[in-house]
Amino acid sequence: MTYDAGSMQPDIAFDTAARPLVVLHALAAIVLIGASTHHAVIAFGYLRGRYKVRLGRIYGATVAISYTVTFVLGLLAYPSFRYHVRALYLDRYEVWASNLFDTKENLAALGIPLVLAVFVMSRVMDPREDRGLLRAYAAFVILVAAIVWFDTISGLAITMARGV
Amino acid sequence: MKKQESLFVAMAAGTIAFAFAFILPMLAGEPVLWYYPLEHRWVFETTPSGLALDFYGRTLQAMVAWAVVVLIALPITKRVKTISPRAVGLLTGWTITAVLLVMLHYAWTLHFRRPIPEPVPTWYQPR
Repeated sequence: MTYDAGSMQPDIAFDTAARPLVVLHALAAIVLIGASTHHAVIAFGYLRGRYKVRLGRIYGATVAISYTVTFVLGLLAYPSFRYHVRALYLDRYEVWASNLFDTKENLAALGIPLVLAVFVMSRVMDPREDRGLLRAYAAFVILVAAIVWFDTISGLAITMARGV
Repeated sequence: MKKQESLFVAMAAGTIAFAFAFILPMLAGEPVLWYYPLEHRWVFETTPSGLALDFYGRTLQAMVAWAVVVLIALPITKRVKTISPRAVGLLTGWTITAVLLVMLHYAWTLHFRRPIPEPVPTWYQPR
């Protein structure tokens, strides 16, 4: 174990920046939940014959960027959270939050290929002509939105139990 | 096959590969890259010997599997003349099912987990 100079606290990557990182992580998640929900509404509209293609492409790109930013910021804050929050507190006093966090992070990772697929399809697909792909596109978009909603609500609940 | 259909097939196959590669270390006991945050070191192993994170390793492994499958699938799908709506529906179903099964596996397993907390260090002061 390595320690900070002059203190007994372990030296963990991005430890001093953990709080600002989590605040930025939350801000990016606010953008993400809005964009993914709007994208789901647009995709549902495609199925009902309302083709807001330009908006669909904008939300596809916004979801891809905000998902990546949220995910990367979470990755950076993770070592500090894993030791100071999960290992020392949640695993001892709030086991439900510890387990919910791991569920949330695994679901977030599983959303990555879906986000990439939705982004690529939103760029190349014309919903007026590619009717065969519409249901697949809508299913992927709705699953991404469901993951984002679950992760955002879980993140809030976990932070209420204990933050970095 | 049209460009958008070819991309959809490659992306769907990549998603299935991602989900499978992501859960493989947990199901098969395969070694994966672990990060030890207190020691700042990375180790490729099956079981960690202390406080360690496998999330980075599993995500990286899954992204490599995704990239390999997409890169293999793209040229193959471009050679295929057409894809039926039934085949698109089946592939969508397989993709969603694969992702949901992996999600449910994690949710179910983690719901019943009883983690072992780290020993409380002498400097620790609860806020």
